[in-house]
Amino acid sequence: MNNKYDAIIIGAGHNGLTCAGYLAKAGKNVLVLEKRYLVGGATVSEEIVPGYKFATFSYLVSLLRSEVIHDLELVKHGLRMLPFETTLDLAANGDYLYREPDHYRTYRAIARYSKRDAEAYDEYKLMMRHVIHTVRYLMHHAPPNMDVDANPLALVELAKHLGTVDKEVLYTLIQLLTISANDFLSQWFETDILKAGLATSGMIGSMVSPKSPGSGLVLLAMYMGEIDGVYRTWRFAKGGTGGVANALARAAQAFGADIRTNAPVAQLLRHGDEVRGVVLESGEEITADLVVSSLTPQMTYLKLAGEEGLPSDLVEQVKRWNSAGSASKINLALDGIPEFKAMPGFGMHLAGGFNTNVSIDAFERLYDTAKYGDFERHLFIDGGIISFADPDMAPPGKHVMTCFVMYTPYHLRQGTWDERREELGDAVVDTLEHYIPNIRKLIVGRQISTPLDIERLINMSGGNIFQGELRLSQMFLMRPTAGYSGYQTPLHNYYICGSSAHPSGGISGAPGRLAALQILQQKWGVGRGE
Amino acid sequence: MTNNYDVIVIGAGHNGLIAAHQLAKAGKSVLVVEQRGADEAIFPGFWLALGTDDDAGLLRQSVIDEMGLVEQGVVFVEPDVTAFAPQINGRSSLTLHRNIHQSIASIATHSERDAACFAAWREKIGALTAVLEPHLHQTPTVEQMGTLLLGQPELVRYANVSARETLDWWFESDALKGLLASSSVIGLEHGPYAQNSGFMLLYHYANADGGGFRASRFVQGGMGKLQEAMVAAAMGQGVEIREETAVSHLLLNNGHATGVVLADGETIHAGLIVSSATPRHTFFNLVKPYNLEPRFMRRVRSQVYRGTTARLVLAVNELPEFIGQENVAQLDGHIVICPSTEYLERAADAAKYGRFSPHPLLDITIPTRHAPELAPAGQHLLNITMRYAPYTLRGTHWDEQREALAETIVQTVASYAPGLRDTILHQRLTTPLDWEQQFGLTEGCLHHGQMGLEQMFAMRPVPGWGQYATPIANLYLCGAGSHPGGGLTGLPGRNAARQILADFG
Repeated sequence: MNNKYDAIIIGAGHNGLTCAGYLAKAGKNVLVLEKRYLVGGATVSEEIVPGYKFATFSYLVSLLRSEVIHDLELVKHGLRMLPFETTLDLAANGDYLYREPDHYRTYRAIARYSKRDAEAYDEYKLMMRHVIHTVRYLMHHAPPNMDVDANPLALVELAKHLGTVDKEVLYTLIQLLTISANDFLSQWFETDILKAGLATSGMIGSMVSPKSPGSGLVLLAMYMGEIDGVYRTWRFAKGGTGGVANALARAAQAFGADIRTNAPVAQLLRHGDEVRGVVLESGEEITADLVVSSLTPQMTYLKLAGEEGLPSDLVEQVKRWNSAGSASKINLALDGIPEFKAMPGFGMHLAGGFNTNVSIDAFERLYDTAKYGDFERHLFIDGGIISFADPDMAPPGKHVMTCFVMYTPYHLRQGTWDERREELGDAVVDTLEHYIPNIRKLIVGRQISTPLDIERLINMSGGNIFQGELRLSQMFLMRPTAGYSGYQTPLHNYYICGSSAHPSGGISGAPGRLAALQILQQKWGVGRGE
Repeated sequence: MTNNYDVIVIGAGHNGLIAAHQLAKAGKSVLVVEQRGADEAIFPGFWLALGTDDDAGLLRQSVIDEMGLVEQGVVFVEPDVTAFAPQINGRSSLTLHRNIHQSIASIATHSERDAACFAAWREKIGALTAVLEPHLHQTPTVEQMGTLLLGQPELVRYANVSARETLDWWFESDALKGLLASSSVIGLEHGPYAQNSGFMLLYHYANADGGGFRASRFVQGGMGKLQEAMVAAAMGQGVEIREETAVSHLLLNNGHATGVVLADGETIHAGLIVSSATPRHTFFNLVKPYNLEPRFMRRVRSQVYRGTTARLVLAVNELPEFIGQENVAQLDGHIVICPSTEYLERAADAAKYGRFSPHPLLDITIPTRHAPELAPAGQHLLNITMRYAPYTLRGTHWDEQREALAETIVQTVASYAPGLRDTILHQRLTTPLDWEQQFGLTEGCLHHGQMGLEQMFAMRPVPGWGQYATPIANLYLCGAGSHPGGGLTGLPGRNAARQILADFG
């Protein structure tokens, strides 16, 4: 095997693989190192219960950038997107709201609660569409690195772009940077279950409630989704999110990249402030012209690089980086078809997503408990029966349910996650039973990943699924560290490309792509960059 | 009496008076109309202006100088002790002094580590507020927000995180963190765990140095003296003030404000109307929604108020004595009951569900320490500001909860000052509903709208209308509902007047 590479990418998550794909496509000799036995990082599918494939962590895809799909020819390499279009919001008191792609059916579903809200729903969606069109600019542009680039041109361009935006839209966007999801949504809506259902997007993976300032920003980030140019669509990737990783890996390999699994990196190979390669935990040394870390700032700087030689303000920022997770993932192998109390029988709702315990008050209570280091027994679960989207995920007639569970804090006040993991699993099943009475007897196996497990298994410090909370002071120029934003670190030939870099998390591939473009331009003068 | 002025200012609060003064100084004929009359005795023999805080620490020097308040006889009192945080359950109390070295000595009894970094923390906050301060003195724009957002990452970080988080970066002592966090929730319905509460912490440190506590100083003779001086200064410039004069609505002609119609039917004309009333009252009641665009009205309707402050004034026949209190000078500043950030957060939790916590945040001042003339000899007033009392109670009403709230407050103080109950002569509670009904403060919000970042700068009071002008030509806002917001800074009134003069020359 070649022992001198142009670039080493640490971590084979979707961003690491995307970065590798772009670099390899540009003719660079690239090696990707992955500590686990398989590629994907947080985008993996694994057969934990024989015959059943779980999307271990993430399970939906909507943020994946069209450019990445096309540039890396992911369809040719096996990427398939399957519909996942309906949402069933379930309140503890039996109320429910079923939203589906059909405009008039959704209108009627909302009008059951409030005709005014049904009318406002269109207005809201139109406004959000305008806001997203405005923000999308950022998904294509690396943040100007104020110190290193001294590139005010990028800011001028940004200002010019924002100058063309309708004022109402611009103000709505500014509002979203700091407002709570509940206050934001209350500008249009009065119905609790609708507001709460929409607010769930403002809570994803984050330690905020609908009434917490800052949940508006998470809402905004989650609305960035599009599939191949179609705005605000959720999809399920054939084979689970591991299907995305596999397509990315095949693409990178087709362009000539090497990928090594079971190859955890211990530290960088440093010569003063210059990075020359990596040292594996096995002791093996691999040299390269540059190294790109797709890991969290804590791993990238404190563990791999070590504090020595790093600017003290950067170290301070990294230590204050907020990445305490609040989400867990529970996967269930089912012997048959779950039946919802609210919508009995067979239907399209089985092939979409559902949310439990949907009400603003309920979410606030869950958050209140979580912020003091505990979790409630009646949980908010963002779930889906993914085997309806992709029948290959389970044996014929069997099913796989994914449960993304919020408000399970990384920092527990009593006990540890190792002691309380099964307690969480039981709470999830108890919660589900409230809405799906037959669930308990269908379960033949389960997999529980707490924030601690997420941290341990895939090095997501704190277990935050975005490698760091989505909040104003951790975005754009400040992601991950002000003064060192772009993709270049203060160490020579050391770069970052993960979700903790602009434009942040979700399976977008955008940080990986933008990092690769910047590296190609800065290091090798390839392309004009963006 | 004439009925035609250059300017009519609605409301004779400090911002209204400051704007009126500035405009009159520029040669305009100005009338101020005020719904309320002169303050009456709060209890027989006791005087206190209920509608204002006791503390004038945020009032900017530019306002003091321009109005000549010192020449008008205002004497500021800066007691040595700025904050005293008594503790129960055997923990030692904490005292902050104007001299930071004395503060550090008190902090050291809680944590050597915290004492060691307290001065550095204060310096850090000072450096950040120095960056912020000029932005509070100008008409806000979107460009300004962009400049701050992109050019001042450290300020953005401290403003955007929760107060709890920044305090955890620096300190370990619950007593210290609780005391400091109490300055981060003024004007917010949220607790110190909420994002952006860091900004309110900065906001309240952005003026006169309280030796590590927030900006704090008192007025000799009480806050009534400040109000009197402002009135005298305005009248000295020729401003006319009519008290007990409620405005019914504005006189509009073709989308232009041309005067006001008083509650008694009288019409007064003016070329310019400046309202220091809350934006919601101004647009809903004075302008009327049918004179405004629906999109604008949605923004006005969506402006968040949700007052959470109650005030209990106690007349007592002797000074209270708190557990751990060493001397009477410790009662000169703010006495803060807030033993930890979690205590404060839990108090805020209750308000989310329309209740008040049995363990509220209390911020007590004793105005008679600086103004003995406010009470009969030897007797005192305790001015107790309480959070969180939500404007909207669930399943009940403030008329039914007054006693319970007053009792909760007395009970809480009494647990820190055991002899209190026997000394109480009179008590008077002001709930958020009372603020609204007696002072015209929408939803009882003392700040004329929440002080969350999403409602600050160019977004205050509503997005797109942060420059004091309104969609009604010749109608301006100058109250706390406008940038930079509430608290006795004097800046909304001053900024508004300067913007008006810039717009009209």
